[in-house]
Amino acid sequence: MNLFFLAWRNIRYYQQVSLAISMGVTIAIALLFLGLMVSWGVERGLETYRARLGADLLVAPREVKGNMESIFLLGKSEKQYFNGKIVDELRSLKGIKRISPQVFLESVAASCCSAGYVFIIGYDPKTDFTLLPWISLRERGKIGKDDAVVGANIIQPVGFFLRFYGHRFKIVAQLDRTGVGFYDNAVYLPIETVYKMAQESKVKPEIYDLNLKRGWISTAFIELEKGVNAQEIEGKIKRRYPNLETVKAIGLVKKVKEELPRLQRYFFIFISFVSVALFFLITIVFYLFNQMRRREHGLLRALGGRKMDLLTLVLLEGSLLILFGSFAGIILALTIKHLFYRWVIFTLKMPLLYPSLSLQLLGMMISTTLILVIGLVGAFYPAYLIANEEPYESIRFSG
Amino acid sequence: MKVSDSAAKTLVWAENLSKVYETPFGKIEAVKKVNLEVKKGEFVSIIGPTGSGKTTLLNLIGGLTVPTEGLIFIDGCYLGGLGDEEISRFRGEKIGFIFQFASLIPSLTVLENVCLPSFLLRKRSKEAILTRAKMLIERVGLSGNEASLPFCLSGGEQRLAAIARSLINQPELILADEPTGDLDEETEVKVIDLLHQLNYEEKITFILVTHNLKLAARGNHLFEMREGKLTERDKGNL
Ligand SMILES: Nc1ncnc2c1ncn2[C@@H]1O[C@H](COP(=O)(O)OP(=O)(O)O)[C@@H](O)[C@H]1O
Ligand SMILES: [Mg+2]
Repeated sequence: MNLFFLAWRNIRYYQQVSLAISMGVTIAIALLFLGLMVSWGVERGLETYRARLGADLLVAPREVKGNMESIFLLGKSEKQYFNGKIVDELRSLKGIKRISPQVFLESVAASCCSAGYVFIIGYDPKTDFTLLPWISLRERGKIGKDDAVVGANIIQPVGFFLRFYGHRFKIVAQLDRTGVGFYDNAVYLPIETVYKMAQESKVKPEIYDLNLKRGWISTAFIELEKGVNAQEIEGKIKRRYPNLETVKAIGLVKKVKEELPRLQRYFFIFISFVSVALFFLITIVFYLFNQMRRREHGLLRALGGRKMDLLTLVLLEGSLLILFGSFAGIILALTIKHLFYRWVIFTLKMPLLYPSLSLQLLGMMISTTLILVIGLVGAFYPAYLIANEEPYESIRFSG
Repeated sequence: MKVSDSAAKTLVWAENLSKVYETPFGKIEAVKKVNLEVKKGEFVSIIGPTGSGKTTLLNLIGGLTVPTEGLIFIDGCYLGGLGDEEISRFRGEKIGFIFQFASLIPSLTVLENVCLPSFLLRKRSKEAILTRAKMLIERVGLSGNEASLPFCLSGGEQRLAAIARSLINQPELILADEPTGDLDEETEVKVIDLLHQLNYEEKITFILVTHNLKLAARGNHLFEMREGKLTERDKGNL
């Protein structure tokens, strides 16, 4: 038997108090850890998104413009099509370096192949410059008409087959995670095959009618020549095609550059608030907890316990409770993190790519250490008061 | 100062001992200029009305509170000169307390409670401690209750466990503050018998505070506390 044993016994004996303290810590840790994960995750998501983004402009039907964020961040389909011959017309426009069409089909809830849903996109392998650069050369070379490129959230690995609208596709490549639903939940199919499927869907009764005319598209990605004024090009396009809208690709992630520091500032304020609140909570709760056990503490002293023993005991109890609370808090945070992934992305309107495992571990350590320090500083004063009281005074006290 | 010239050595020597409590309602002189000498192996009883300062006196002797004035020597050691580390060790090694109220640690079993002072002292091996604790539990008649938590025991049983605990470190002096206050008469006699037995067999010195005059008279000396003053009473004319 030692002080650790006694601390453990006390925690178990005073279940309700222990539970209350641990739960406070659980919530604080969960908030802190989640805050860190989101803050770091958005930073990482932004970096990845910027790196991934090959396009400067997107062209889409006027009706879709307001939904572009939803399309990109969440990967939600929008079935508004326009005639794809515009792409060839624009290709010759001065200042435009590359242009490539894409057509959005369903975003289907598909337990077959993804944790959430699948966003089926037709792309043009001949002109594409947003997708294929991320695939290794060898795979790019052999992309055939029934080959699919899939986002990171698709469960099936490369080499497996997927079935859509009666067609079988072979997964030839998988993209790295980006934190943006448009990429992560996507299954990219060659656009020619998509048109063929649409045609077939009209004659095959067992297939849901795709309602897509050959040659019609959802969007076109545009890369501009260096030094070209994007505004100017946008103006030209809009004048020529009044039914179309242009969107700056980087702008899809709302005010990327300004938002992040602001988010991080909020997070800092939030951490400070949680820390201060927890500090007072722990101080008060430990004060009351110790008051409740004053006689016990006096007895320990009468039985030969030193001030140091008492201080150690109370701080040990505190540390154990905080560690249990932290453990539960991390689990809670991890759960929330996964459940509310999409919600966070859409609320913040930012790409969210949770940090690597090692950074997550670091985050756990940081939040646990922070709370442990705060908690122990908070627990120290009540413990110090108790340890310095005359044993007789403590013993006389009856809770 | 020369403490005594008789054969037995002095164990407790209190001189001019006073304790004043400062309360919001004024000062309370709980102990007033008390002189007391207890020799090794003696059994001393203290009687007196409630509030007369008996508990305060015991706590002063046990080093649980500091006198406002006066000196206390235990086994030749001046308590006022000890730091926290030393006085804690001193309490653990030399003194056993039996308190007026339930005093077991509620989260520990009977066996663990009995062992506790020994573990706090960190002197003997775990096996030695456990062996002695089991022996003491048997001695006070609580065999079979080793693994019970205090709240499972009756008041009397808890008191017996506290007695076993006070003996674990083989103390020189046991300070028993109304140890039978809440016990029935039969158990009370049994407990006091046990204390006398320990006094006789193990030469442990006892200072016992009790309300029961008949039991008090069984000691070597009988003192009465009244309004903070201590006077020796003749056992003959009770
Ligand atoms: N810690 C304390 N603070 C203030 N007054 C006290 C304290 N301890 C005891 N007293 C007072 O001192 C007097 C003696 O108390 P106590 O020693 O407990 O007497 P007894 O044990 O004989 O009943 C009482 O009037 C009591 O109220
Ligand atoms: Mg008393």
